[in-house]
This record gives sequence, structure tokens and C-alpha cells, in this order.
Amino acid sequence: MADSKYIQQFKKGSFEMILLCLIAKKETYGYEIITELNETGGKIFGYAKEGTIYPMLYRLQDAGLVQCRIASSQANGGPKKYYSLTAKGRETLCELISFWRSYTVCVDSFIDIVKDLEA
Amino acid sequence: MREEYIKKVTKELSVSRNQKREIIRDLNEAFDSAKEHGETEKQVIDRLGTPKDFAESMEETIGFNRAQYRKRRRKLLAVYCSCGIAVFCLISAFVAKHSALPDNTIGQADSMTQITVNGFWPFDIWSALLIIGLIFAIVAVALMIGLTRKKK
Repeated sequence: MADSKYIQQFKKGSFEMILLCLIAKKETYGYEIITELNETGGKIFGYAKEGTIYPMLYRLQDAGLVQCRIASSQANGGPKKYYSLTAKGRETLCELISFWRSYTVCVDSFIDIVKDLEA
Repeated sequence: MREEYIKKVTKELSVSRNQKREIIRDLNEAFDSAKEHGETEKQVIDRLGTPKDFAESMEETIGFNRAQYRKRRRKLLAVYCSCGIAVFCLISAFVAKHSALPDNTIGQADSMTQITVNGFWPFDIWSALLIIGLIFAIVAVALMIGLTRKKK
């Protein structure tokens, strides 16, 4: 049931906003994004992997919402691509969040109509 | 194991050279990061899926259509071939025309004779080359117009 096409559409619609949230929190790199996504949302979203996250990051970058710089990590690792939000990205995220708030309120009000259906 | 995986992904990816470089760089970083966090190469590869799957998921979400790209690449190849054949034929025709002896001469005669030479072919080689060259040039131009039109 967890992977019905309707639920997949929910996930798809919010994934980019979630990525923006993670990048807004702090400058971060691919593996860290995936780890945090999976720790917080793995059970609900299913476990994310590079094959899904990287293309989204490319798209966010193309859209000018995130920027990246290549730097060596503190922990003696190889060079990594560190992502951060651009001014446009910050602005877009604020818009998305405020929309999401009113969106869930609106959707909840529909759900309330059929409250007795919930087990 | 890792090198082989990356090599296969490189082969599978049908994206622009820049995109490919970017994806391979990120894939290398993914392996490095995973290693730092104590993951084995096998664990990473299990997560990524087959090289083909990985390449396709990168292409799909990049908004890239594999079939369309291949088709375009074939058409471009056809344009290059037509251009090549056209240039070759036209140059050969030019050379044939200019290195040929005057019409109706035999054995480097100084002047014209009344003897006509009936070749095996009803036409001479240079005009044949010229016609073939022109046909391929037209084909090349037509293909090019088709390609640039679709781009828009």
C-alpha cells in the first residue's frame, strides 16, 4: 500500500522542498543529505539513494535555487561538493513553506469531513 | 569493483560531455563519502543498482530522453557522411576534369582528331562524380535543415 501511485505523487511533490530545507539548515554534501533524509524520513519516504538525489540537486542548481562549491572536508576526506541555498533558493523555500502550511490546513479540512472513516 | 562500476556507468550515460564529467565526479564522491562512513563498495553498488539503472535514473531526472538523443546522434552522423561524400566527389570531379586530356584526343596528339572515343560508360567520369557530389550535398543540406528545425 505504501507505494501506491497516489502516495508516490505525494512524495514526489514534496521532495524538492525537503532537500531545500536540509540545504538551508547548513552547507552540506551529497552523502550527508542522503544520510539525514534517511534518518528522519526513511521510514515514510522510503530510503533515498544517490540515483534519485543527485538529479534533483542538478535540477535545483539549474534553477538557480542552490549553489555548490568544491572543498575538502574537515574529516580528512576527498574533495566534496558542498551545497548551499542562493538568495533565490531561500526566497523560494519561504514561499513553499508558507504554501505548504495553508495547503495542509486546507487538505485537513477536507479530511475532517470524513473523520469517522479513519480507523 | 568500484572502477569497473564507474567505467560501465560512463559507457552507459548518453548525456553531454559536461554532464557526464559532473555525474562521474559525483559518483566518485559518493564512493569516497561512503567509505569514510564505513560502507563497503559492495554496499554502495547494491544501493545504486546496475550501472544501466543508475545511468538511466540520472538521464531521466535530468529531463533527458535517451531514444531522442540516439536518434539525433544518428542523424548528425548521416549529415557528416553526406558532407564527406559530397566533398570527396566534387574534389575528384574537379581533379578528373582538369587532369583529363582534351576531348577526343588519342595518344597525346597535338591537335584534334576526327576519331571519337566510345567509352564503356555513356557518360564521362567527371560529370558522374559531379552529379553524385551534388546529390549528396543536397542530402546533407536537407538533413541539416531538418535537424536545426527540430531543435526549436
